[in-house]
Amino acid sequence: MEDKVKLTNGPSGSNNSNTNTKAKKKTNTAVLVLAILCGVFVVGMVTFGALFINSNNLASTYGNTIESSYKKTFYELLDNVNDIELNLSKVQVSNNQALQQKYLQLVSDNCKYAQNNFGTLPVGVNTVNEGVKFINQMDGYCTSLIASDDLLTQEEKEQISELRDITLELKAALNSIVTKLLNGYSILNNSDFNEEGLTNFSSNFTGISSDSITYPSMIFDGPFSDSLYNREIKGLTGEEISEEEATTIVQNIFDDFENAEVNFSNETNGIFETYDFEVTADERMFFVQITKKGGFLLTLSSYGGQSETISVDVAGCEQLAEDFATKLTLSDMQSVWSEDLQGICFINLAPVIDDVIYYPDLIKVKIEMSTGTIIGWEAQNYAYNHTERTETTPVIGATEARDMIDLVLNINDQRLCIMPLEYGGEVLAYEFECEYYGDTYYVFINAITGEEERVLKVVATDEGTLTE
Amino acid sequence: MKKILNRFFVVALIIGMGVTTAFMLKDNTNDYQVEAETTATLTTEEVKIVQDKLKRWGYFDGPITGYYGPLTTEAVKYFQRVNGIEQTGTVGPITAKALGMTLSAYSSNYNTSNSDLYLLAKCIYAEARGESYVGQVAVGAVILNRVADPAFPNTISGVIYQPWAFTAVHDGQINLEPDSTAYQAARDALNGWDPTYGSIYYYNPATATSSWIWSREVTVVIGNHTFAR
Repeated sequence: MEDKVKLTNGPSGSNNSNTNTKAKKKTNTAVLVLAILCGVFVVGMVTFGALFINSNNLASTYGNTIESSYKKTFYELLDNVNDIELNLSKVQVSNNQALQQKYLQLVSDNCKYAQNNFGTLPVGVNTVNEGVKFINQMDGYCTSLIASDDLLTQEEKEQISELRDITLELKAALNSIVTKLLNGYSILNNSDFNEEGLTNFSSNFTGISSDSITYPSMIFDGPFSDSLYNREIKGLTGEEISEEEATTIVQNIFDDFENAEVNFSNETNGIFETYDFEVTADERMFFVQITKKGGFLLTLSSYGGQSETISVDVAGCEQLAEDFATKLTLSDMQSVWSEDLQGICFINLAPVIDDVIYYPDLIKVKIEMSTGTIIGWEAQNYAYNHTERTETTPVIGATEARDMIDLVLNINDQRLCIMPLEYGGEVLAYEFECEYYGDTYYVFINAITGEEERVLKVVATDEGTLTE
Repeated sequence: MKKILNRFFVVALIIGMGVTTAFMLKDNTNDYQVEAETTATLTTEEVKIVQDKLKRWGYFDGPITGYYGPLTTEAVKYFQRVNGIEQTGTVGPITAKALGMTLSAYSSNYNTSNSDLYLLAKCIYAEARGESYVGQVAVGAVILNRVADPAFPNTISGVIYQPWAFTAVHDGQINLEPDSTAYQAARDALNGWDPTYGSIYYYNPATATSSWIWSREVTVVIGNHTFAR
């Protein structure tokens, strides 16, 4: 029976088992797919979660680092302003020159730190620039007082007192922010710049703008003096010219080129007022600026191709630069320094009159050495300073000046020159080219007083030979 | 069931590896791509040259390793003494000259001027690479005018990295490598070329959103940039 059953059920049984196996396989596959899906889902979730936590942790670490850095900057700024105020008050009461200088130096140092810290905080450039200007000028003023090497006058002490009053106002404005910070205010969360280039944090600094504090106009012999920004333009003489006249001047400058195309592009109304032209010549674009007053070539600028082939050497370039100056009716211009760098020759021209070099009137010229084309002319200094000088006779003799030079230096050359002073003005001086342990120095001895005015060291760099 | 489990494990393993790779990749992005470039006074190659020269000339009898240790220091001192150079035991420009070699970097001045030029070229390239040559010089001039202006930071890096002073710093374009045009423009600006005559601002009138900037006195328009004081 069993057999029968087996027999009868045999094929159908095997059929059944086939179906069962298929069904089982299907189930298996379904389970497997499900397991895979579950696996993918679970692992995916875990991965996502882990990445999310990880990136969140990172973001939070970065955020904390930046927040700490901002806070450090702010607290340092506060310290700097405190120290400025403290030392100004000490200068006020001190009557000893050495002490006054020491305190002034501390004011100056802290001004430098303060301006640096101001420049690092996430505040709009225009929010703090009046405060920064005040601090920089205070630094310049203190530096000039230190340089004058004298006991402070009554007038200078009054100026110090005024600076201290303003510093107190600055301090008060900054202190109001400290209270916020101590109560958990986050600089970073308020650091997003909006369209106006301002942050929410910037709004805390309105107390230092010129609307709140009246800043003085400061004029002194030092860096950042207001006088440096309103310099007299001595070198431009003659009538104001028209755009047409300027066009003719440009055409004459480019008359050596065939088919130079001169196009007026714009007017510039900066410290100098100019007519600007774009000139296409020899498939090259030149930018040219002619002053409205006097029709003087102030700037010529073009990009020079860097080439290994040199058709004009440095001496040839110097001659080309001098000839170009003559063409522009600038007489007596001589090359006083030149340097070739990657196929471009840089030349400084200065007027040399009766063997006196006029350094304040320097014109910078650039010549492409592969073609001998003048691709740069910059005559701002000439336009500022060039006048006829009256004081060109030295009071101190050359030998006497030579004696002022440190004995360890080997003197190679000497010339008489007018040299510009760092913060405006100029002086007649002897320039001695000296050598010390293989390095070249230029030492300038005042030809009226015999004092050593300046030392320049010739430094070789990748960018050519410079003086520093 | 075993098979299912096996497959499950295989799949899980693959995913696991994927996850690990993802983490590894993520970690890689955290390795800042800034190469800290500090120029040492002497490179290993230069030390080897120094040692080689001193050895051939009989001042040094140690091995040529490229390591500047006490033996090399003594040998350099010996060389300096014989050649009338101050005995520092270190190789500066004078000793290098006496050894007949040029150092890749030999003074702090060298590095300063070089990094200023590089930074200026980077900012010019990032901010104005689409502009004409003079337009690029002008951007460099604005940066340098800011350095000289009391209302702005007093260094080139201070001005460039002042928060929100330049869009290119904010969006990371400052990290692009400048081309030779930007370099030449930076060099011209450092040499005193200033086609804007004292400008301390510039903006693109087509995209500028700050109403404040319109109040500044316009000096010149060069290409897409309006320059102002």
